[in-house]
Amino acid sequence: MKPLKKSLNAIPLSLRDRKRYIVFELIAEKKLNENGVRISLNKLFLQLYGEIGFSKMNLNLIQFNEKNGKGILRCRHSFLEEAKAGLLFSGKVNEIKLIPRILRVTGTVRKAKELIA
Amino acid sequence: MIDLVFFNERIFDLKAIAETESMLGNSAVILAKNFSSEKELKELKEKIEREKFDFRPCHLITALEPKELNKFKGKALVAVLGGNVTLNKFAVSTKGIDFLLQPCTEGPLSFDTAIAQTAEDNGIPIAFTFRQFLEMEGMKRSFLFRNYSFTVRLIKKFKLDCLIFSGAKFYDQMRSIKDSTSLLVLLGFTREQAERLAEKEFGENK
Repeated sequence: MKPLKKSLNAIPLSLRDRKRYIVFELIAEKKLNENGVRISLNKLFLQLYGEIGFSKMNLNLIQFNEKNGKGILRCRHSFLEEAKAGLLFSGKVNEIKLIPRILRVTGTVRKAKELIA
Repeated sequence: MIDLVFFNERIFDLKAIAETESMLGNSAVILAKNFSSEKELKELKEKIEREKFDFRPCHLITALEPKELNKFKGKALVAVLGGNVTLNKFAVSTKGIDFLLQPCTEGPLSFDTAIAQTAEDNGIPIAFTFRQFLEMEGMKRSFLFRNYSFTVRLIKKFKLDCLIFSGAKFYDQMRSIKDSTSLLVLLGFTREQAERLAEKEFGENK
């Protein structure tokens, strides 16, 4: 008997989601940690768009640079406006008040990573 | 891009506002306040002159008093803080009012076709503030979204001018106006319309 393949087949290009990477900055007086930002963003988006909306947006915090407060948020390209608007609703992370600011929207993660370095 | 803050001397400092707003990419700020006298406005204007940033004072009418308008007309921008039918009607039907601020609340709808028609006739822009959405959550925020979505439909139908401001009462409520256009898109404008509205030059320094 042929052994079962452990990894999944690659998703064909035509079936893959188109993504956008939002490069943002959280301006706060104190340092923010990546885990805190991730939890607070997930909670916020879930509250704002509901479970179905949140799942459709395919949101994920790719990276957060704790030193300069800049991060990358991935979303499905058709939900870009929702993701951008949602990000602006974030006013607190672990009781630390902040001002969110969107720096740029990119189509590739490589370009986004260059921007937050 | 022009922002508006609800100015309170106890909370805000002009230098700090200028610093934060420049960081957010906003080029000018309207300082909205219910001035008690002309002297108070004059004092603020003197302070503004010392700053390099583009500050524009604005008298905020919060109650139905037409006398207030005559007192400040021509000396500063004059806006009406809406939210109920009486004030909204007063704002759109009175010439000399520069814009109607916050036409809706989470309560019953206070903006209808008659108000929109009058606003069109008199050319009064309608201004939204991001703070209203920021301060609420749950059911209240959803009702606010519902009321504003309907208001946007009327604004589009009657081709009214629309403005978006952060309307901050504290520093952490300030937002970039360019980013806030996403909220306008959520409310029903297209991306192009929202960008055009945000870039519009408004209320030159008086």
